[in-house]
Amino acid sequence: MAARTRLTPYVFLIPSAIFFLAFTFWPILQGLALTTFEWNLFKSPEFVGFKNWNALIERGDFGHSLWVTGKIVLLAVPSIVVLGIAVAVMVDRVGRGKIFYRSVFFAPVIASPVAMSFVMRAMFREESGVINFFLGFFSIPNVEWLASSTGAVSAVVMFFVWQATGNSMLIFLAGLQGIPTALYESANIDGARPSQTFFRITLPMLSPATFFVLIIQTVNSLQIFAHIYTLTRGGPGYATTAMVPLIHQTAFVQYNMGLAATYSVVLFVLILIVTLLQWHNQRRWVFYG
Amino acid sequence: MARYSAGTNSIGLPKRYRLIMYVVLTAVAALYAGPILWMVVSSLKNLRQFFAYPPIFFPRPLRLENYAEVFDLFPLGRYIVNTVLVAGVITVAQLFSTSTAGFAFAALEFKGKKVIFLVFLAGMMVPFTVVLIPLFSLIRQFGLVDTYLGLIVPFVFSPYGIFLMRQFFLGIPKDLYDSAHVDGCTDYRIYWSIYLPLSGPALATLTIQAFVFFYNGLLWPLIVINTELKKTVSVGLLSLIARDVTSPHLVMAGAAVSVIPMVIVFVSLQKYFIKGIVMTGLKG
Amino acid sequence: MAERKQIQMFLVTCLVLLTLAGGTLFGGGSAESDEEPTIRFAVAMDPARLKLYEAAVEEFNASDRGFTVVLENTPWSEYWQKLQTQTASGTMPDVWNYVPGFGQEWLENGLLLPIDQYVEASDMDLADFIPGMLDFMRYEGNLYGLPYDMSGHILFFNKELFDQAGLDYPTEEWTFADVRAAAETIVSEVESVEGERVYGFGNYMNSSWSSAGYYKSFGGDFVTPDLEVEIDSQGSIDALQYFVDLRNDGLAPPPTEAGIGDTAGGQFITWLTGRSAMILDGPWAIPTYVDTVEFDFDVVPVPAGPAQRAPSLLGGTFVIDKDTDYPQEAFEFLAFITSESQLETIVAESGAGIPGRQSAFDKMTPLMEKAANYIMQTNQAFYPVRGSFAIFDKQNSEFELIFNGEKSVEEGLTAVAAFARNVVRENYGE
Repeated sequence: MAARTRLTPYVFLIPSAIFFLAFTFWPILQGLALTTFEWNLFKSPEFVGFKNWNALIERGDFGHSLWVTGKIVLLAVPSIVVLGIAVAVMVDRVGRGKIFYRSVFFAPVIASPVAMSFVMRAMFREESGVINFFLGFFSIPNVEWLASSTGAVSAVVMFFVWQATGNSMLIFLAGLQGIPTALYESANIDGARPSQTFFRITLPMLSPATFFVLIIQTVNSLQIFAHIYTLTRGGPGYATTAMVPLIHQTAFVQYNMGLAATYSVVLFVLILIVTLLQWHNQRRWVFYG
Repeated sequence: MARYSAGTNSIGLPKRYRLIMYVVLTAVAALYAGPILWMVVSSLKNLRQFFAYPPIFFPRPLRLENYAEVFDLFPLGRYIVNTVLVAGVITVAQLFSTSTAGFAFAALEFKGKKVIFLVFLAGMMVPFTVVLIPLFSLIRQFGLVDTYLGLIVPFVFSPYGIFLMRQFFLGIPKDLYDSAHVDGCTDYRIYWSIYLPLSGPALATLTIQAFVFFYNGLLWPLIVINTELKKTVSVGLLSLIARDVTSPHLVMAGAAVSVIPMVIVFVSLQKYFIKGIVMTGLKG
Repeated sequence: MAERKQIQMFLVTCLVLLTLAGGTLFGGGSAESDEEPTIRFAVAMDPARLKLYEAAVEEFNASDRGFTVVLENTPWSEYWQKLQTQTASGTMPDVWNYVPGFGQEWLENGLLLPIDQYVEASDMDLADFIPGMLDFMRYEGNLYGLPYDMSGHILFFNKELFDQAGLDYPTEEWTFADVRAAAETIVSEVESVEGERVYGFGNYMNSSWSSAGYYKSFGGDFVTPDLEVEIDSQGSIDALQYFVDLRNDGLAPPPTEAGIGDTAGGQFITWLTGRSAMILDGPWAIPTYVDTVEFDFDVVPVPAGPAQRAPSLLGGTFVIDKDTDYPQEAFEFLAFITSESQLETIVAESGAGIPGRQSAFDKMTPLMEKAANYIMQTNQAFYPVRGSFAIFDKQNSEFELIFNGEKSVEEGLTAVAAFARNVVRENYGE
């Protein structure tokens, strides 16, 4: 009896473990090994030791992509959190039409970035695009979205945030459901203003949800690819070449597999560090009721 | 037991605020609905109308032929069928692998539990590009290039799914497990007859997320599939880029066909998985 | 209780379906080997042309040659990436769509099958193929492929806008200076078209293979046959500056309307809506324009620059993988798909481009044939090097910054040239 119980948990892990070992772990090891090779796909891989790691430091493009990714993450993640909370709070309070509003905000999550990139590209056109058309009503002159460096980054962030808000809204809606009504009632009795209720009760009680959204969206935005690849191809110049687009380009345009693998490993470490930092920090502000 | 709020609109919000809230909410909703609506509107234009300025919001006549033309150009229906089928198989596989693993992590005790869990979780943070080429080599060695199975196999293991299921199962009271154990049930029995049936909402959540993830996925299907008729929707849509130069209105129609049905399906199913997210329990 | 049972039933069904599905997928997915060998034929065509290739392959398979051909298509923008993955994993197609410059690595790294012996054994007449295109496929004394089309640029012009401005149409003698003058006149004479702004010139200088021709026209070059990088020479700078000036002086539209950054050759919006008087584009665009634009247009050769008239020549060819299991069969198919009748149907009659065989020229529309002759007369083959693909990509990125004003022409081209020199050095030593 005792022997059987000791093995059972591992049996439950088998399905996941098999696929993990074969199709995640092993390729990761190979990817790691690849960082010490130079391989342009046409000749056999050549062992070069630390050449790729040196190249990473010497070449400007990794640092530049780090900078681009940083910009995107710092713009996108707070937007997703704030918009998610704002929309969730409003949708939560709506009587009728709750399902309607929820659907509207969730639809972008389902829409494929490839498909929507066509639409976005048309919308962001300088002279014939809808967005500039509407801006015209506010007397704002035509913005050079996709062709200018700052405009392109903004467009990518907007595209990404538009798509991700629905997910974060759902998490926050769930979080809101978990707040005891009693808290609101007593606040009401005490004569609290709505803004006080929001900042002193709602937000703190939402902190576990906020934490969850923060982690997931940070990890996601650090790896942003499809939105950039389909909307700007990393352009203009390299203005929107974030880390994963850079890796893709290094591998499939410059045929430098070893260097691409090296970039990938560093990105992974980065994501790990950022996540760990956030995880550690949670003690300071996350409030588990 | 504290009363949990199911819609806080009854608690102390003055009428004035409510009105402003509605206005703001509707405005924001309009912004979010905008691109999808614009896609539909654009898909019914002809070429001249597409580039017209000021932009046309109600094309006359509504050019439904665009949709017929798109299907004529590509086997779009076939792409959709392929993608739905493969996504379906992946989802079922994930439901199985994640629920079993999640159960083990949540309800059972064993050596190395914490370490294994963290290792699995780390899988979530690995950028796909790290494994892309090695994974492709591996698939080739198994003879799975240009096969549906080749598309499926890397995605059966889902760290996000394991995380989700574990959190959910953690919310199920341990007493349930203990009393069943005392009654002589094996862990398998407990998993199958107690935990699994209770996990409906979580399974539903996972289903949607897995399905959408694969449906919209680009890089892997692009590399694995060669044959035209086996392509997924995302890959098929890329061919539309070539067409974008001279028939952007057709491209819009193609995009709409790939987006709208999915949206309709999931919007109508939303109540099933909203519950799931609620019950996932967001505690550490 | 009932709910539990339901979920259990559902999951059991799912598992059963899963195993079944996995089983059939596994079986049905892998190519079941009949007695017949299979040849994989990879192309990068847009949907309309793809249909013609599908028909050709069907026709071939129906004629019972003892082997079957399977067609694989990837959109152009992802095609080379796909080929690389296939090379890396040893899953190259048997016959594939090759473009000089883009595919140089495969040619110079010995990954293609020389076809000289097969050509001699058959009764193929190589003289019928366009000589410039065949030259692209010769390397170190061997022939490696056969062309299916030829392309270059020509100048398109909107007759109605020229009429409105009271100008004579462009001729075969025109220079870039003439183009500029005409553009200025048109912009000042023609108020607007349907309430929208008019431009003299609808697109910019292309950043990939055709850039070589424009650099040469002004006395510069891309990479010379001596492997000298001349992208930052004064001639090249002048060439690019010419186009930048068109933009800055309001004679050409903003980047997004001029097709920059669009991967598939650019969406020349102002030209399509009749608001630009001229563009530089290839004959492949003629059928589309004939079908969609609402104005009368015509073509002339690319104008001459101060140094010479030397637009670039390029085209598509089909090659055979060195490690194919069925070289004889692959060549048989290659000969078929580049035969006069196939090129007539797929390339000439469809208007997809200029066929690689001169005997098929007469099947083109008059306008296409005119363009074809211009290209044959004026275009010069550009010199492809290994790493061209990466250099084109770098050049494209820099062009984006140059045309939106964030970099000067000198800065941008210097950056491209430095990159190009590195690439050439890495690939060729010295």
